[in-house]
Amino acid sequence: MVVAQRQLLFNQVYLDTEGGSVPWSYSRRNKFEQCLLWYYYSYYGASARTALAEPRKEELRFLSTLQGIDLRVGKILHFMIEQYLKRLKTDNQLSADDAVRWASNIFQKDLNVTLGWQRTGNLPEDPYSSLLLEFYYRQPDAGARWGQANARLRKALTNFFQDSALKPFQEGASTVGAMIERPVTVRDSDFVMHGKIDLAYAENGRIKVVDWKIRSSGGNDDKLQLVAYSLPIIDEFKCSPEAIDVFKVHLYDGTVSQHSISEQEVRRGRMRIVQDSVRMKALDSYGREAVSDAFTPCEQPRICRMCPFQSLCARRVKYA
Amino acid sequence: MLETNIRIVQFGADLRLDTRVAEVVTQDISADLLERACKVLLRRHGLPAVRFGSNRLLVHSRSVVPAETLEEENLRLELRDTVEVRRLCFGNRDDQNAMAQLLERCLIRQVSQAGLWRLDSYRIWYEKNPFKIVQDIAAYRRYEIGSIPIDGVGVGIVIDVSTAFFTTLTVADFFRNDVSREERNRLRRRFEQLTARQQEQKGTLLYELETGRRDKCYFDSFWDGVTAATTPSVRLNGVNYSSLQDYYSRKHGISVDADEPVAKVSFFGIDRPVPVSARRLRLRVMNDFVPARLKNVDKIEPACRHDMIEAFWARVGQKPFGNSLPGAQASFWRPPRERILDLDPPELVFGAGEKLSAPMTGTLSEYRKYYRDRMPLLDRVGCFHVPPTIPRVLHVAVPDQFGKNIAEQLGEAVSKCLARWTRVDITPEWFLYQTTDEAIHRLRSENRPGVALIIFSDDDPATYFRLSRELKEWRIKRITQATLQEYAEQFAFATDATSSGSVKVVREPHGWNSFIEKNALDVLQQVDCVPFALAEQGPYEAHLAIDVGQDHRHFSLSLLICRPDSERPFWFRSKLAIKADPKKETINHIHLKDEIVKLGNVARAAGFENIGSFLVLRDGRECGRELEAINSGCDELRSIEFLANTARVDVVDFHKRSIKGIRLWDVAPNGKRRHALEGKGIIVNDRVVVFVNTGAATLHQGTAEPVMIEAVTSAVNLNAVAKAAHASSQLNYSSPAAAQRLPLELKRSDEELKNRAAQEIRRMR
Repeated sequence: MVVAQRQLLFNQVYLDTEGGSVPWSYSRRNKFEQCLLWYYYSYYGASARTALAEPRKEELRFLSTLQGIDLRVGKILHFMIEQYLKRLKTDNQLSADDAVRWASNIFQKDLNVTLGWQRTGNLPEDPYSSLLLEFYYRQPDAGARWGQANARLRKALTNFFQDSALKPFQEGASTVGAMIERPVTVRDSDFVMHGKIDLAYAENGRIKVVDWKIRSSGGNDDKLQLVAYSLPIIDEFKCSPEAIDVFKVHLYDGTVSQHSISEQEVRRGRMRIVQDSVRMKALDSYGREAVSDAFTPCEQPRICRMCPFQSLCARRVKYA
Repeated sequence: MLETNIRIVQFGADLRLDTRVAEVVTQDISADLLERACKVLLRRHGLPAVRFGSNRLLVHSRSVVPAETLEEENLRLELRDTVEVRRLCFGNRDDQNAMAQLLERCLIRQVSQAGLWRLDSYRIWYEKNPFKIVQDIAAYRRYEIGSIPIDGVGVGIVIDVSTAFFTTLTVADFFRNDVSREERNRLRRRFEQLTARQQEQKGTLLYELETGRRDKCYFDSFWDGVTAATTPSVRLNGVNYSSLQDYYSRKHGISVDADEPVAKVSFFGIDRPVPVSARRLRLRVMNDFVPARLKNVDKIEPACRHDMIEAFWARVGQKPFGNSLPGAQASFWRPPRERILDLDPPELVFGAGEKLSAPMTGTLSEYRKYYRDRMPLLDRVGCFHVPPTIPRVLHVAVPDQFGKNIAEQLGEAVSKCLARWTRVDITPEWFLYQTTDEAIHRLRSENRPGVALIIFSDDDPATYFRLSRELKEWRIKRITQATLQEYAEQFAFATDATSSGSVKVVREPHGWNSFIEKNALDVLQQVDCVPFALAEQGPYEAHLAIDVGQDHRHFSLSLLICRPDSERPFWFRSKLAIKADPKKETINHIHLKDEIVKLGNVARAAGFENIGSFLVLRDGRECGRELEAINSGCDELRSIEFLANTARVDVVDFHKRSIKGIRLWDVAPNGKRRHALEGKGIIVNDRVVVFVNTGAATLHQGTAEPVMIEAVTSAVNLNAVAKAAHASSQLNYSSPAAAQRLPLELKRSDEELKNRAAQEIRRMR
């Protein structure tokens, strides 16, 4: 029960295969590319509705609730921003101090229950807390990573509230029809895509899409991610790709980068999604029948150390 | 007399080599880590070493192997001497590979001091200076070093020579901003063309530092507006640098101007693009993009190749493996008669049972006739097999810009060829289109899917993928716009005075007929026609080829059944499958087995049963659990009675290019070196053969590139395997007048994988 609740809150796992195609999401696609065995465990092995012949079902379901520190702080950040933005037009507004305190409490609680589990072996009672993967697997730098992530979370949230450059986005969130942390689905003849829009709103004939990032800027521009943002927006706002402005807001250093996307890039992106969907579909029947051997482990230390299922992977690469 | 580009190490089969044994201690030890340890010894101490067992190295060293440590973020590796000394003897079969590898690495150590440079591979060395520059492209000779133990003969050292092209301009030159807008655009277009970025390639770069360090990397982006002094801080191997300029200064001792332009590039082993000086990057250019005057410089004739390799040996001196080791024999290895493969070409059967005899006496003129007669015979008697359901209409979709005259000429000409070869009337139905959507819509509105010749730009994989997907029931032959354009420009039409409004051809482009013939032959294969087949039963009734695409995202299976004496003498099918894990060459064993069984089921449903001999050719190296998959797949094929219970199944690795760089040529009695005849080869040992499917009869440039077959399962008769592979290479349907390097089953697999790769959208970043 605890496991199921926690999954509902923070760990959306898409199980339906609507019309025979495997639902595509940006994160699912990334997992497929990173490690097929991790992908199998996440979307089939640990699922209550499929891969029923999986002999380690319970263990997988438990492990699937482990959350890496970086992933967890990202989710807490999004949760806080969602709470703040959704309450803007209510009497129950969230102050900056309260939000930072609340976020820190959640993350601290995660640490406490994880350390408690290490001492006693008892699982947390609180469905809103997560066991942290790095501590679960006793990674030597887990404590340091938690400390860095906690500082990052506080700084990102503080920037969100205090940086005047971000005020237009908060105002945009208050406009009629604004989408805040909204799950979205795009149904195409060749694929079904699921995703989540952090924030989108219309302004002066243009559609602004905002992606909150906890880390500082400097990463790569991923056009596929931009396409993944754009497709549901095109459906929802009935606009052309050229009318969309995507803002990546790096809350840690307060950098905002603006991106645009062309019709041609959307067309290419669609085809890429179709190609991904075909690849996922090719493995779908193996997943449903719990043939885990059909999913090759990646054997890459950088990926293995982030995988919640590493204890079950015979060919995992040790990282320390 | 057959001669190779191999030199045998002195003392031949009596060679002995003293080594010291070193131990490697690390977590999760693997072959890759042991190889890295070998490279550390070579790089830091000039000591050649090879893997030995699961955690040890054999080091060619007279003294104690120095202790070494390799530390990275997630790795710590320690290497230490074990005091054990081991003498390797060529007479001991288990020692042969290690000896060959050690001597190869000894040679590499010497070569590294011979004024040559290398990129990522220790086996490939480039000349310091280009031998020819045309426009902005420089051509460099390079040498590839390999080794092979030859049973009863000794360690063979193989040197091959080839050509590589790099731009003379740097990436900074291509992205200059201090030139006119026109020039700037020209440079950018040239950059895009040379990197083939439109075709989803990243662009391979040569990264050169003044210190002599050279690396291979891949273009990511040009960092506009950022210079070496203004980059954000750089962190590498745990060290922080305030800027790229600081990095070059502190890490390499190089002074870089503050305003030097910066590009982001990807290096192997670094998971994200990193900034580097754009002035230190030059583009690696693929042969397709070199100017016409450089097109043939990589075609090196046997005599010239021999001389170049000889000069290379002279350059590394009398002691090419080091002072303490014997040298190499002074001349190239000429295999004795008992080691020469002489594969007989098969008799071929065309339409109406008409046969083309195989050469009987082995003369060059006879071989030439054997290839030359194929097209005239096909024209005269037609295909060996034409499916009764062959489409009667050839749809031809041509972009609007070409106009109706070109579309009509193309459709008519291809249909005419098809009708001649199939003995079936095939009507061309051409149409002009403006958008891909329009072409797709037009074809989908037909009552039933058929065969279409579609002309479209090959620049955009998304378009190609979309066409393939939307028209998946169709047989599509693609011609690129650029190809047709060349011919279209040469056509001249005039209004025919004798017939009102009709148009006649005044001038036909040079090469039009062979262009048409080539495309018609491709369409012929698309509609499952068999132009000709083998007239005699070969060593195997069925061949299965397994190949993995270059990007590892798909794999292909091709099944060729050839039973000339049965009611269904010939059958061929190819199947493309998703390879889910693109990071690895190996195919997942579950997927491989399932796809083998699926293809077997198709053949079984087509009426083929109780196949008595089955040859499995894995392109490249069978790895992982593939053999297990092939075996269990064959068990299942027996259970569905596609294979006979007693069927012999032989599995071999098929190397499209001899991985060791082996070449063969013929030495005439007057000493002149020339191409060997098709089907000549050498028996390296009882597990490996090397032979050429192309040669003197139809090869006019360069030196034939041999293929190499290596037995995987036990008791494989390699003579029979080579004979089978040579015979199916005679099924050269795409170009019957020229010998074909690959057996049909591998050629078709290769083509399907390339076609699919051309549709893959990779660069979304």
